[in-house]
Amino acid sequence: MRRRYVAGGLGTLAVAAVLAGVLVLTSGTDEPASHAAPAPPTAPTAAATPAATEPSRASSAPPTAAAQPPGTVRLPEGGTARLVRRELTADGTLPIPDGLDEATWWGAKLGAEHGAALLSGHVNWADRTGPFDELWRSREGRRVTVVDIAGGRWVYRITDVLTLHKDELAGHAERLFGQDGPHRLVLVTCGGDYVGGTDGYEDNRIVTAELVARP
Amino acid sequence: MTRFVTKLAAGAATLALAALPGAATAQQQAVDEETGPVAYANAAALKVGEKGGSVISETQRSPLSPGTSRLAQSRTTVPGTDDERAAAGPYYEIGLGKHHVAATLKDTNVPTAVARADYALRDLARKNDPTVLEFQGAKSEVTCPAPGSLTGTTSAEKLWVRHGGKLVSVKLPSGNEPLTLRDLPLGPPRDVPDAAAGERVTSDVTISRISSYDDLLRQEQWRSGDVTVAAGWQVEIVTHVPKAVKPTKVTDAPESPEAKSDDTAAPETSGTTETSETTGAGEESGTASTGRTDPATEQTKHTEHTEDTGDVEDVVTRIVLGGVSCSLPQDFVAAAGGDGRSGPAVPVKIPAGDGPGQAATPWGAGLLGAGVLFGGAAVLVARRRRPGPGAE
Repeated sequence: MRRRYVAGGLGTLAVAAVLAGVLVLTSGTDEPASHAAPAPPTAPTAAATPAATEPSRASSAPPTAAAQPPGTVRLPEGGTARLVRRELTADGTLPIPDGLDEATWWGAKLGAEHGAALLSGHVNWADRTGPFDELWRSREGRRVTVVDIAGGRWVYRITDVLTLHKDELAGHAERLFGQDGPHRLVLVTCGGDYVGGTDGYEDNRIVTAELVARP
Repeated sequence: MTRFVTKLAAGAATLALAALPGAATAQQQAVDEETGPVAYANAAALKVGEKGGSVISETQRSPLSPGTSRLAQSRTTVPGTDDERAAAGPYYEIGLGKHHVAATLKDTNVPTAVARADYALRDLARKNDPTVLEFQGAKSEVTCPAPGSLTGTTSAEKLWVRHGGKLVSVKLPSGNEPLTLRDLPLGPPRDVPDAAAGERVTSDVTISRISSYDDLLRQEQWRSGDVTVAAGWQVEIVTHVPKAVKPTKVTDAPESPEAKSDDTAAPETSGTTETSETTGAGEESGTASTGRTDPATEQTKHTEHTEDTGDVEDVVTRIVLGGVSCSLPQDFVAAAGGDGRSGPAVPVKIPAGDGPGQAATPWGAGLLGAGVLFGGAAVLVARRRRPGPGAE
C-alpha cells in the first residue's frame, strides 16, 4: 500500500516536471517568433507627421501617454525603457541590456556639445516584443523624449533611419557613434534574419535624432 | 604691356613634401606608410597652362604615428622664392595671411587635414592695388574616420573681388556650382609675346569647390588610398591678352581711352550665384598694362579667336587654395583613443535583441530530464509492489 503512494507521488512529480520543462522550452525558443524579428522595411523611408502614429506593438508600451519616469527614454509610439550606463568591452561590443525594460546608454551626455548619445535596446526577449522594436517603424520627423534623472525633459527629432548588416557596422561606427561630430541621439536595436551565434539577428536598425528642445 | 609665359616642366616646380613626425602616442604602432591612413594639407598651388610651370607650397603629410605636421608661419606667400617665381611667373602672388595648414593622424589613427587662411590673389603688375581676389576666413577640411564615412568641407566667411578700384564682397558659390566673375582687372602671370601694347587686359575667374582628388594640384608623393576625400577652393583664371595684329599698327596705336575706364565696370557673374554687393565702384587707381615688353619664348596653352579689337590670346592659370585630402584602406577600423585601451573607440558590435532562448534552454532540459527520472522511478516502484506468482 505504501509503495502505491510512493509510485503515485513519483508519477505526479514526473508529469509536473515534464510539463514545466515543455513550458519553459516553448516559451523561450532559441529562434524568436516571426513577429518579433522584423525584417527591414521595403518601403522607402519617408517623413511622417507626428500624428501619423501606428498602434504600438511593444509589450511594454503604455497605451496612453502616461507621465514619463525619470531616467528613461520614450520612443514615438510610447515604448519606454530605463537608461543604464554601460561601457564598451575590449573588442568594441556594446553590452546588452539586462531586460526589455532597460536600454544601454553609451557615449555623450544628453545635450552635450558634441558626440553621439547611443541608446541600445532589445527588439525582443523571452518571446516578448521589446520597446525598441518600434525602431523598425520609425520615420523621420517623429519625436523621441528622454527624461533625465532630475526630471528634465529632452526632446529629439528623428533625422535619419538606417538598416545595416552587422558585418558593415564597424565601417560606419565612427560616423554614426563618434564623439567628434555634432551632438545627436542614436537609437539602436537588432532585427532582420536570425542567424544565431554571437550575432543573433543579422542586422542593426539605427535611428538618429537631433536635439530640438532641452529642459 | 606685354608679358610672356614660359613653358616649364611641371617637375621644375617646388616639390617639398613635409612629413614631420608629430608627438607620437607612446607604444602605438605606426601606420603603414604606403597603404595606411594618411592626410595631406597644402596652403596654395598654382599652375600656369597645361604644360606650364607650377608651384606647390610645402605639403603637410600626416605622421605615421599620431601627431600633426603643420606649415610654418614663415611661409607667407606663394610663390615665395626666386625659383618659385621663375616657375610660375613674376606677377601672381598668393598671400596666405595668418594661416593654419596641418595634417594630423589622431590617436585613433583617424587622419584629418585642415587649411585655414585668408587667401589674397595679387597681380603684382598692379602697383598700387595688387589684390584682385580675396577669400576671407577660408577653410577646407577633411576627416576620414571610417571607409564609409569620409567627410570634406570647403567654406569661407567672405569673398572679395576688385571692382572699380575697390574690393567688394560677392556671394560665395553655392554647393558644387561654380561662380564665374568676368572682366576682372587681372593680367596674365607672365609676359605674353606679341601682346598689344596699351591694350586693356582682363580675366574671367571661375571659383569652385574641389570635390575630387584629381582636382588637386599635387606633388608625386601625395597619394590617395582605397577611399579618398578631398576639399579646397579651385580658382581658374582665363586671361584675355589682346595681341598686336601688325607691328606697325601696334607702334602707331594710340593708348585706348577705355583701357582704364573699363576697369570700373562691374564684374559679371554667371552660374547660380550672383554678386550680393555691387556698390563701391570708383575709379581704378592702377592699371594692368604698364607697357613692359620681354623676349618671347614658348607660350602656355592658348586659344586664339578674333574680336573687334584683333586677336586675343587666352592664358589659363589654375590655382588651388587649401587643397586637402585624406585616405584610408578599405579595411580600416579606428583604434581606441590614447588611453591605453586596445579596442575600438566606438561600438562596432551591438547585439541588442539577441534571441533570449539560450537562458531558458538549460532549465527546460533539466526539468524534462527530472520528469523522465521521476517517471522511471515511479514505474520501478509500481512494478516492485506487484506480488509474484504464488506469493499469496
